[in-house]
Amino acid sequence: MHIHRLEKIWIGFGLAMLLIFLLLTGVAAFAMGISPPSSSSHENMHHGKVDPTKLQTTAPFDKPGLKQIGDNEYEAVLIAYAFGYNPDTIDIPHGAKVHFIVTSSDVVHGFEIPGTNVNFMAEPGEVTELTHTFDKAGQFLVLCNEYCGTGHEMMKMTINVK
Amino acid sequence: MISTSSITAGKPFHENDGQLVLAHVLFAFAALLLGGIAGLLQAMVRGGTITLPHGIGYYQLLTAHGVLMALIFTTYFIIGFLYGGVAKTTGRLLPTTLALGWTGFLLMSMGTAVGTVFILLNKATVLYTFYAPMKASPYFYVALALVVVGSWLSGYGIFYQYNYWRKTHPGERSPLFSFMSVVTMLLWQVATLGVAAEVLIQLIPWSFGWVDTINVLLSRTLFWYFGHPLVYFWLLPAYICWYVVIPKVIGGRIYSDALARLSFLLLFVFSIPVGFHHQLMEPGISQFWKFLQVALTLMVVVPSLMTAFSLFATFELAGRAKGVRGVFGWLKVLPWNDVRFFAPFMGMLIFIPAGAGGVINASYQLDEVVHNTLWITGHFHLTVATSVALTFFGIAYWLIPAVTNRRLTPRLNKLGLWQTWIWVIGMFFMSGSMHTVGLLGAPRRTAYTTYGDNAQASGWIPYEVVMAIGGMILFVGVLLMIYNIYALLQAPAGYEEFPIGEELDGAEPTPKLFERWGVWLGISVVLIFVAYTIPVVEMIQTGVGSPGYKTW
Amino acid sequence: MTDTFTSSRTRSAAGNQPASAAENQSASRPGDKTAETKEPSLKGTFIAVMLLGGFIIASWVLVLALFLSRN
Repeated sequence: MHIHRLEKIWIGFGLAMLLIFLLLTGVAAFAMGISPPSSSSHENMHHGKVDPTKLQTTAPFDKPGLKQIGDNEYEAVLIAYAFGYNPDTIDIPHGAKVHFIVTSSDVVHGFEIPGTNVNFMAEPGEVTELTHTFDKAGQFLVLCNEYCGTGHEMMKMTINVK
Repeated sequence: MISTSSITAGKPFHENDGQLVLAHVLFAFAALLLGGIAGLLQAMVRGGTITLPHGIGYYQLLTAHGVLMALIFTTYFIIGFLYGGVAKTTGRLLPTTLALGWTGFLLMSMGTAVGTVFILLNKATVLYTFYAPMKASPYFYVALALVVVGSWLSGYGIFYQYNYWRKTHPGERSPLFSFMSVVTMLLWQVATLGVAAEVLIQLIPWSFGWVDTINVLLSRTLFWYFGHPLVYFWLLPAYICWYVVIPKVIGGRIYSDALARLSFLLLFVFSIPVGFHHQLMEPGISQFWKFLQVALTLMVVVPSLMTAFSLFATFELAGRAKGVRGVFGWLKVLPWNDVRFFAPFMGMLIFIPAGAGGVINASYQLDEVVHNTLWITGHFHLTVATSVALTFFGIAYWLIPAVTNRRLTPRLNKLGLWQTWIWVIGMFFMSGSMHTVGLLGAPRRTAYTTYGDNAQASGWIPYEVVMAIGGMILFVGVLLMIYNIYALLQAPAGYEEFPIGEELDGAEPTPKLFERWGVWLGISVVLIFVAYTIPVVEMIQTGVGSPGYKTW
Repeated sequence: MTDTFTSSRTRSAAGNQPASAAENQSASRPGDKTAETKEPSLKGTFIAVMLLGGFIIASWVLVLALFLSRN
């Protein structure tokens, strides 16, 4: 098998490019903590799992909503359901760091704030956690971006950053 | 002057073989028509152009569109094309091969019919990814199982024919087309194990009510274990056309048999242990395992980079052999007005943005920008609905006449060129606006909505109107394609070449290692176990069951 | 249009006859390569794939910039 000199250069270039992509994303994730969403490590959660049929009696989902946990730092505990979120509005102080802790009480849903990097799945039995700092004031739309049934296109909530 | 040696004096395609190929190809195009109608209506609903009459749901159309286009059109066309090429390169299909091929066809067709009926009855509006715990009618899942099992038998037919050829040609290198068909079908066998496990072990018992709950995360993981190699199952046959057929069509040679085989083997090995890159935005899988599969995903880019080089080299060397000078002079002598070249070529060209988008999607955090937005829909309308579909269309223009002993007329060739342009233009508008509005955040798989006159979401509507315009242009493309298929069946009797390229003279031999299947299957299995064992065991051990819901 | 279509197909037929090509192999077929002869020139191919690589990098950086601007 013969490989042309220029093809060797091209494949070397391609590998280097892919390696740099991998390195950049890897460093961002594992050294700088800019990682995609993952299972919640909330104290009440066992392996980030929860029984989707018993959310009303399982902390923290028995009291969904915003809870201050530090200096301008909050936990937003939310339940996605067909076809909405509980609660359907939260008010966040400007500049606050918010840990979204989200699950679903029925089918799989999405949780996306368009125009930001907040974009993850809410699944029954699983608890997703993602942290975002709200640097800009205003009203933010949250929408479901995973098909969940006939009312999917109406599934939304509002975040007010004041 | 038409050369007598290769154009007119070819052997006719054997009738029995031709019928099997034709049955698959025609079924594929019937699915394309039905799926195309669903696609048109959907695009118009989303753009706010029409409201569906009561009784038909947007998501029902979306399910029909996805199943018929992504699963049925592709699978049938692929099997037809591969059987055609295997018959062409290894000799007439053996009775066992034909029997397996027809049994597979029958099972898949039963599955398709049952599945379509249940979608139309609104009992399976779960889209073509059928994510649990949305619970469709159990017969929808049974239908899916029939399609998968049927396709397995079709694969066995190809393996049987290939094995027979190797036994009767000891020590010889197998024909490249057949080798690639075996890789494609082997990839399919290994990949479908995931969806088969999901359907047979999880979905069917649960939807019949034999068990109460389902492990949602596990079902999604099994689905995406299958879902990503699925896209390579679509792509590999297009690559077969690019590597084996196109060199002959342009009057050139295959650049390197060995490198072509190597790229297929790499695609086989790296396209399966990568499903987590579809699950980067979900809980239950730790960062380490996600990142490992991201790394493997980027590795599967390498054989595609090799393919790009090989294809350009084939073009350049063909041009040089015709005496063309200048760095890009060879572009001028490519047969631009031969649809057998032009349609697949546009497919190749569009694979450049399609592939670049794929690298972005797999790049870990960057997925947050695009996950479940219309960007993703735009992405796979470039990959499967343009690169793959246009290549398949380009194949149909010679495959149908070749297996029915007719010929492609200049008029049909011209209509084919028109069809290709219509498709490319329609897709430019549709996929282009999907990509753009996706970056702005517009979600995929969502009916017309402004989220209660939200300003941001209302700003997406103009893009969705452009999508609808693109969809209408594409529908004209579907109709023209269907007419072309009809006209090909009426084409004058004669001989149409089944183009199979030959390698450059004096190429170095292909390593024997490339046909030691145990080695490649072994590497694949090891990678799959490394990438999946620990996370899957964890999912099974810690997973909490979920009851089923019918939310449509 | 019809003529070009036919002639391109004729060319394709002629280009694949190893028997006729074998006689005037050395100079007229730059695609030829044996262990001794030089590799064919693939300058155009190389430029084309590098443009492709550049396109991938440019798109990737564009989305990265969008990601960073939203983080």
